Amino acid sequence: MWRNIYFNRPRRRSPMLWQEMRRLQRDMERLMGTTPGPIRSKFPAMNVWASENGLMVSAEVPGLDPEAIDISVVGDTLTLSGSRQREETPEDTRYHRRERSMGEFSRTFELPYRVDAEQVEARFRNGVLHISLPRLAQDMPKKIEIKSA
Amino acid sequence: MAEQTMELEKQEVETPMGVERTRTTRTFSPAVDIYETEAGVVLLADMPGVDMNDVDIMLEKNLLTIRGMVEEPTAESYELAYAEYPIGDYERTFALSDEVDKSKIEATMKNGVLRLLLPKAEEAKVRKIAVRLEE
Repeated sequence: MWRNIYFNRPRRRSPMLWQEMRRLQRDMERLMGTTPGPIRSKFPAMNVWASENGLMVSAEVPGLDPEAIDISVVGDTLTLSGSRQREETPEDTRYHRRERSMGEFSRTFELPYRVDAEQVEARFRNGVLHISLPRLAQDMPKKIEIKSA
Repeated sequence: MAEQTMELEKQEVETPMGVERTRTTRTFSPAVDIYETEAGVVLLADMPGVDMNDVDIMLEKNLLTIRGMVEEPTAESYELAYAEYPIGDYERTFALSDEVDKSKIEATMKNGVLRLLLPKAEEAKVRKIAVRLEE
């Protein structure tokens, strides 16, 4: 899904612009009343960073144990899945607010190119998951020298 | 697969007119769960990206403010290609009732979730009041 956005993006734009555009769009929708109520999006929310050598995907998964997250990479597809459970409470518990999203999740991303599954690394810190996905070496763009005749 | 888990999009905190923040980052209101048991009130706040040492909890009279500072990741040679969530600090204020024993508030932080335990004051714990028949 994000593939199109990724490819159509003009190069060398400030990352902030993206977020700003998204926010503007949301504000407009809110004003026009096309999306009534609070906006919900898929869990976990993800950001994707790109460099010459590969991608970096980050996802906010607060409260999850790193072991409770399944990450799988097949060719150019990244899948994140797991389950987020509300903590166990005594029987006499009364909830005043329940804003944190819970339950099973599974998200699949189509990447713009194949990644080297062997080299994929995932780090988890303070409830944020960072997955680095290096591009498959044989798929790297090659610079072709022009020989003079 | 069960139905897709959805989450609330981050809500930006609004400042009063003319008031500016000292930090240039944006500030969001963390999603919270609050529940009450016999012993007290537990508050759980999602603050992904916040380190234990960057959490501020302030109690002023009966206003409890939680604040979490996020360090923006600086990935060299990486450019943001697609964004679903904005990055910024967290801040939210709650009014506590007098029933909370303010001297015994405990805070812990794990995997980006702040957990506050607000014990009930002794005198606020449930007392059974026997109803007597009027004679």
